[in-house]
Amino acid sequence: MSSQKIIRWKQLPHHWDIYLFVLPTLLLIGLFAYYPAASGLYHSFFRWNGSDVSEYVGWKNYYDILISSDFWRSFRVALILGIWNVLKLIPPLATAIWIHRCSSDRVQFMYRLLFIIPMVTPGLVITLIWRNYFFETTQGYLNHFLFASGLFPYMVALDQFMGWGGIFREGVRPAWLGDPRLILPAVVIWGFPWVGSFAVLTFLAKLGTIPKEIYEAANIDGVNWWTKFTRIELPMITSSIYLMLVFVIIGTIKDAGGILLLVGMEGGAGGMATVPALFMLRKAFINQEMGAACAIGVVLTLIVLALQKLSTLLLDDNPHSWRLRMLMRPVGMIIGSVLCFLPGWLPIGAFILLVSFPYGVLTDAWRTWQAGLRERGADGRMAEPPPPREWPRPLSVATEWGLRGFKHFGVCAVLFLAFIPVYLVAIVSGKTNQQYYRSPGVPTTPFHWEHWGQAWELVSPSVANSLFISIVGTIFTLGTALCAAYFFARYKAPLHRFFWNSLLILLMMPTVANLIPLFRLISDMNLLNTLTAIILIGTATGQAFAIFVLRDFVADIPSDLFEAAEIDGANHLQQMRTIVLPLCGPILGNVGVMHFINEWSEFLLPLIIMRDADSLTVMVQLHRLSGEYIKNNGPMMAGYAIVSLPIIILFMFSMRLFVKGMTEGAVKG
Amino acid sequence: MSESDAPVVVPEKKGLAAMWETLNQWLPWIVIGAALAWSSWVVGTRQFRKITDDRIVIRLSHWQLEQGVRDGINEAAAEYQKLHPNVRIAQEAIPDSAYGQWLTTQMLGDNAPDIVQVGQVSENVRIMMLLRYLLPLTPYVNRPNPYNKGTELEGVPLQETMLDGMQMSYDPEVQEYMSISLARMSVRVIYNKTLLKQLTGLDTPPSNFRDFIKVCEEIQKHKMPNGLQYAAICNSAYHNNAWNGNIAMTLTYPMFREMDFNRDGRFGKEEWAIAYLTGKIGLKDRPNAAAFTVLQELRPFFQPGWVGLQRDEAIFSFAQQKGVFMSCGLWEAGGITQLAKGQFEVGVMDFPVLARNDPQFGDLAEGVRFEKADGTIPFSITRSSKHPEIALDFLFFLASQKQNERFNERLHWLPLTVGAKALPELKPYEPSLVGVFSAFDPVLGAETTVRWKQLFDLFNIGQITFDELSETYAKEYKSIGTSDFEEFRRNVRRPGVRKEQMSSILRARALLDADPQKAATAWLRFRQVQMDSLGSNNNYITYEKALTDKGFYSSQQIYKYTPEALQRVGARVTGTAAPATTPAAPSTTSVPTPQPTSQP
Repeated sequence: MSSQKIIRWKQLPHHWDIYLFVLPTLLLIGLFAYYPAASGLYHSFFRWNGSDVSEYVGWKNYYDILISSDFWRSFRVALILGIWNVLKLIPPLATAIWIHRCSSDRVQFMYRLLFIIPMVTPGLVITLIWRNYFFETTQGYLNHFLFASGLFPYMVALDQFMGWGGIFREGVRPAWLGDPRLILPAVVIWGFPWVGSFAVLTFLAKLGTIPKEIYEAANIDGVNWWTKFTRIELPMITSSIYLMLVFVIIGTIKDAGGILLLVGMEGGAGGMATVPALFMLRKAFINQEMGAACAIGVVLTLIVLALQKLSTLLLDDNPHSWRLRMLMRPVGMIIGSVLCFLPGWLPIGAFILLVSFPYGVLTDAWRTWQAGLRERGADGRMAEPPPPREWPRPLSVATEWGLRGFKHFGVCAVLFLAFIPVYLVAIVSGKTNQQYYRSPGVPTTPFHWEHWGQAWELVSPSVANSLFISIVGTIFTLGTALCAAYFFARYKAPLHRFFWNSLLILLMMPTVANLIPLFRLISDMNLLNTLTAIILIGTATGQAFAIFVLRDFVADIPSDLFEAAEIDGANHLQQMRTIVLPLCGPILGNVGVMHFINEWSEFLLPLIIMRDADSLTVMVQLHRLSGEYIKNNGPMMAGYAIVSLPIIILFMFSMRLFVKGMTEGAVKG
Repeated sequence: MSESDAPVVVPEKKGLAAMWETLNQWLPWIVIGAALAWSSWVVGTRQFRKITDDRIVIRLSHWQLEQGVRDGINEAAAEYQKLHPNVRIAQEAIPDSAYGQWLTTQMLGDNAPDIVQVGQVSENVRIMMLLRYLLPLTPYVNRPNPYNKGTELEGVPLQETMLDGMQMSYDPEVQEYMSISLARMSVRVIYNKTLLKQLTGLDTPPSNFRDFIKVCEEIQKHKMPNGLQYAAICNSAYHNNAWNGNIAMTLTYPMFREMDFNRDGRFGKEEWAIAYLTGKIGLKDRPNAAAFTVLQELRPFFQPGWVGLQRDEAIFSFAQQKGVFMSCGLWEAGGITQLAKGQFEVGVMDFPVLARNDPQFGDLAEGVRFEKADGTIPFSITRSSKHPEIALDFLFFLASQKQNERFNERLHWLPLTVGAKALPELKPYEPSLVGVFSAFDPVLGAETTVRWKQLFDLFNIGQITFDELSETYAKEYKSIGTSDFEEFRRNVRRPGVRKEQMSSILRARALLDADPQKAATAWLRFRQVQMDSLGSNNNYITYEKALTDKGFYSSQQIYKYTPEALQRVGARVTGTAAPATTPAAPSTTSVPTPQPTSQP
């Protein structure tokens, strides 16, 4: 890492120009992140309707939240969904390991390539497909599958056995999004087999850093597949797993877009799928209790900050963290035990108990007991453990081939399931409604290509809007972030630490918590219903992550290059252009791709800011289309395909770059 | 990273290989550049069109996504634009599930369209919208509609050209005319004539509740070709309101007399709230229990899983002939008829209410649901509109006799303007002007709405009984009902300051205006505003008293209209000959119909 140049206060007059590199970032985050946060905090003490009613009520909003059973119910829902989201990491983990274990590089590459499409299809598109086509009661694929496969009678029997109260009844198609008892399972199930995030690639990238020699040595020593996993692969990706866990749990608490799209602002039937962020949005935009919504936002921010701080403390590799981990175990067991007895909190209590259980103590005790059972020889030394049993060669060969076959079967099965939405989009896009009702799951003729034309007419304005926002926003973000990264990496100037900490805090602040004051700010700036607002806010929110990633790369550039350039008379801009930009190409591409995808998939902000139909972004447009009373399924599915294409094309060009960036530690775990 | 650092010598590529490599290197940039260029072109030309289009754009928003509505509005807009080439009408049709949130956001941001259909929000928010964001239209209701020139309505004030006298447009909470309605609506039961005959042998549908239940039982004995049972009633969470309101909730009408503490002949949410909070009524009172019993009796005949069904799923089931009956608003009848075309015949019938001689609840069954002849699909003008006069002119255009007839013909709705002819096939949908209304409204604001919906959903799926529903709600209502009620009272009080200001201005005009006609008008309006203020203050005090004075209600007697009074009212409403008069029982209303004698 190159050393930072220290600039002291008295040297400022000669080096003031360096602050110009961080100024755009500071302005953006000051205006679009910190100002709304401060405004939200201020208004949380008022009974505020977002307009002209503003009456100071002190802590009343906070008090009302704390005694509100709806609020705590929403947290319970978030925690339950968070636990399930953690468990939903298992399929991508298993898939990554199976792909990684493929000995042929070509096969590995083929699998990676095939996984691109389901992985990069925007999550909100998958949500809409599940909402409109899988979960539909009368015509949905999920119910079709349950009835056609003969599974449904077993579910009826299970319902009776478990006493679920008739969720699954003979002859009655379950209403997945309409029955309050099925809403949460529906929210858990959607997206199956859950490889639609970057988890597979992240795990693959990390597994790719394990030297092949280790596997060769393990094979020579006759290590089986489970030991390879537990002793080689798992330790390597543990840090990534922990990071994903933290992101997943925090994401569930602060996420609202996906749930909103799936079940609506009311949180579905009976409000059973209301998560804290949705609760906040409802308070703000349905009940017009903006002050209360701001208070919820503040509480959400504090909880997320606390969780992130706790996770950082726990994951760090230092004596304090070790002591804290030791302390958290009994605390977690006590909390888990108490929660198990609270009505409705059993799953969460059980999970906390499972996670806090001191397994290490048990395994150590087992080993000690095992050792105690082994006899000591005449020389006082303990007998060696018996050698592992050697299986007959044909059996070991058969087992190995069986495992290999299972590995490929597993990957292909996950790929098949992941491709189902893609397949459905392809076939339904060419069907009329009549064709769809008659044969929803198989291709029919004639294929109505004109639906693609109709869909293009419907979505092309929003595709243009989203492309413009995403590309321009990405260029601005990369430009400003790179300049700021240069500032932070190369120099230690006055207020450097203060600026850096401000950015770090932003990383942890949930944007959704400040949505209401942000809306007010945009309204006051006369930027409502403009693409400019989305671009500016996207650029502001993208700063923290981009700078965080880019700073390390700029810092890795040898300082000799900069010194040589300075000697040659290059100013900061010239050094950026000739040194930083060329060397940071791959990581800029990586960050750019991720930012583009985030901007493309943005839903909440455009939903509340944009008004005119021709100014909508793709996700909002799709949301509007799915609100039609009589859906035109063919054009709608074609529309889903069209809005997914830019992301797929982009990712196909940049996959190599993306994986390289991840492998070089872009996502630090 | 295990890549070697040793430099690798790569042989130089020539010819096609070199071209391909160059293209490969630059292709992503070419694609990104092309995408940016195209999107910039689309966005740029759109902005350029907006800037260079010197036409005045009037935006209109609504949530009527039913088949034909958007096209109908577009056609009407095209006709208006022929007369006014400098105006463009732009329609924003938003799904009803998102409309409330969308409208709230637009109004908060002063970004709302010029003309809005107000709804899909809770009562408190609706009142706040009326007070803050919408333009009162009271000054305009007595203007003649210029688009009625050449008809018998020429020179007639707008209010008198509407069949309902713009009653629906008058909002008692703010005491102003806030909208112009364009159509009349009602809800009926549609049925599959072919399937009814096939399954029950009946040519005509049943007319009372008990016979209806028997027919439903008969229908559900039959199975479809796929082995699943036919549903007697295709239902969804959306359509369920109609069955509730038109059959079950009419049984609660008798309770109205106990709740109408201000004797205005109207039933308001706040009256239910006060009566409930003071213990005057309870959820388990016989009329309420009767209504919920009827709901429970109907429930087995709804299609399975109906609670979770969206509106379009129920329509789809009906169109697929999976059920016989379905409640249907006039706004969606046209679309459904189109879907059924060529497959089966659709009939229309009234909701089968309980008969007067019903052995169980006949004493509570006082008639069919009263349907106001009021206009619906009301459109209001927002204060943020830059061209309110043009927005108003467009609404006048749509409300003119000729246009209203044409507009509703396109949309398959009932016209509202006097003399505008309705399509003959819509006769069954003509509102029923004689009947009773529901006196059950347990929601007042945001908290009660959400909680009641949650519990009612659980009741609908049979997860809780009516007793559990009422007990749970009763427990929670003390806190959430009180807080909603406080919010409601604040909203009632809020216009007070504005009315005081208006009073002062009107009084000044009345005293100082040189024109005696204008002064007289101002004086009339001053008295009207004073009366409204007093009425609203009186209500406010009465709410306070009802909540704090335990003896308040007990001192009030239940009142009933005499049969003679009812006959006279019925005759007046239906336009039939009135019977010989006897001194009428007092029948007051706190909703005076403002009749300014000249324009402001």
